[in-house]
Amino acid sequence: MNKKYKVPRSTVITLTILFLSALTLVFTAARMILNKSAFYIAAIILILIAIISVIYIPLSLSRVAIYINDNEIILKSGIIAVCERHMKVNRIELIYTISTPFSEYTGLNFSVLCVYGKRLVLPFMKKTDAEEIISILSKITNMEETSNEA
Amino acid sequence: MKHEHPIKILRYCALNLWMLLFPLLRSLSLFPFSPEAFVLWLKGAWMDIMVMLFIFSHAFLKWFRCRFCVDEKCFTAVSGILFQSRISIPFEKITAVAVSAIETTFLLKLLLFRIDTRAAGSVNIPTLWLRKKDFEELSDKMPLCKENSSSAFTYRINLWRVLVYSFLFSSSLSGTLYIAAFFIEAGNAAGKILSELHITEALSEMSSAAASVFRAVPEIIILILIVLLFCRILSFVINLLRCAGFRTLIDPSVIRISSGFFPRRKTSIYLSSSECTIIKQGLLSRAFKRASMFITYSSSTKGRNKNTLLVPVLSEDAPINALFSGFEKNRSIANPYSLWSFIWQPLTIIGVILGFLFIISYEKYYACEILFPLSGIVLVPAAALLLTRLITFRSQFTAWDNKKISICCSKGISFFTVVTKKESIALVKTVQTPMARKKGFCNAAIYIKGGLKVMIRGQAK
Repeated sequence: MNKKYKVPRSTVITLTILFLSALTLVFTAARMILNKSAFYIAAIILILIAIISVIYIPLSLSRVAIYINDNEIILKSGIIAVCERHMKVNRIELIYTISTPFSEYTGLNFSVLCVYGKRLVLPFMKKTDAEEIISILSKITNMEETSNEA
Repeated sequence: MKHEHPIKILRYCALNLWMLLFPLLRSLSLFPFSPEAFVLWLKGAWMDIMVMLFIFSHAFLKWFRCRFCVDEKCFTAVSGILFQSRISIPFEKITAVAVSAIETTFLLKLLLFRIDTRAAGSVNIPTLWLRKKDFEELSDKMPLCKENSSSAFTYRINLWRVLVYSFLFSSSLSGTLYIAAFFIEAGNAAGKILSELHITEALSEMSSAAASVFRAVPEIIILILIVLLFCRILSFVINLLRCAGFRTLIDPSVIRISSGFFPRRKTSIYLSSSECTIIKQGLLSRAFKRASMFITYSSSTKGRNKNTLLVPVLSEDAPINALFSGFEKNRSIANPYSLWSFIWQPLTIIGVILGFLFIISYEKYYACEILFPLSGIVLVPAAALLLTRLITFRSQFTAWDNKKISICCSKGISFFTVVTKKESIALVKTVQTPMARKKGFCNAAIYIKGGLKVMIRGQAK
């Protein structure tokens, strides 16, 4: 069994909107607090951050991928430097999910896989994907336990 | 149910109790002894006395409500004043027991007793302060505390080795950490204690006296060097006290380690709960071909440093090193193209500092005279780090067989060889830059069960 999960498009849109709204708030606050010359410098910096984030957030999220097979779970991320996290399925001791309000539409669901002494967070998944991952992993671990007992 | 040693009440008392008590006693001693004078003193100091009584009664209540008991199968500890928490630990779930004995006179026979389980970080099991007779009663019932006369391996340390260990493994950093721990523990009282002992005045006198001898060196540099030297001496003395009378006994199922002069520590660990074995070397100890051996075990301790010293001084050709060989089957060393991934951090630090000094000296020459010796405080450790990384580049390896894996790497300016079971690896994180992808290597962080992290650089993918 080989399964691949990607970050949904709705998450990219949600995160970009959230980040831009936060930047707008900072921009408004800067306009009220700072004097003219300081505000112009802050505005240039904020606009640069906004442009970079509009490029960076979708690009970084498009590179996040989760692979599950019978033996291990792999989380890949990173734009320039690629980071891979490998975790053996049979080492997992606890799995839980964190869902935010309206996560069906925003895709802000997280699954946390705990092994003794370390945890792996699988970020930004569809709610159905998160539930599927949990059911697959628990099925594999249960099968291994029963085979060990036998 | 039994109570802890009554001296624990003083531990529960807030530090402010002592800050109130001593001025009160001092003011009392100034008065002539008469009932009128005593009443006068009482009128002035009633508020302080009430606060003191409150602190003391809270501590007493806490001590009174904290109890423990042992039956045939289980150890139980109860704590809390209003909301009581009850922790029951079955004997088969215990991974280790640590006992520190403080025996000063026949009046104070105190033992600090700590139990470890596999519930890492989830339960905070308190350290119990026990009377000696209570501990003896408890150790009769607990299988892990019972001493076994037969042992497969015994190690004893002599005075020469204690000195060698304390010298090789003392560092200014660990001394600084001890001092920082003192300041955190003592809180506001620390400044007062330092001023009472006239330590700051003594330091400034020492640095000005030394500055008159080393005229070219600024006083601030001498002060920093004196503090660093003091930290190193402190670390040396603490290592000396910790390591005196070190003894390791390995039974068929239990490792028993006794160490320290005051307090005398005894740790018993189930062999089955050991997670990995670590050989540690500093730059100095590597030059002298000496190492020390640690083990980690399943523990509920939240602290980062859970390593337990197993053998303080070990020569590289010792028979116990056979444990770390025998992995010739599969062996992987650092990629020859990966040198940059080893040395970029220290080189960046050195480059930034030298560049900064160059710019400053170009602009303001006189500022450089002070900044150059100051930058040495960063440059020397960075050079040591560079040397360590270069040695690691030549010596790093990962070897494995069907059951075990051995990793030789470095962390900071120390070298580590870690041996663990393959099942103990919890997570592997790899990072590949475009250049590394082209040459087929990566940097990997291996997380071992219990939270130990091992970083290997330039390893073949």
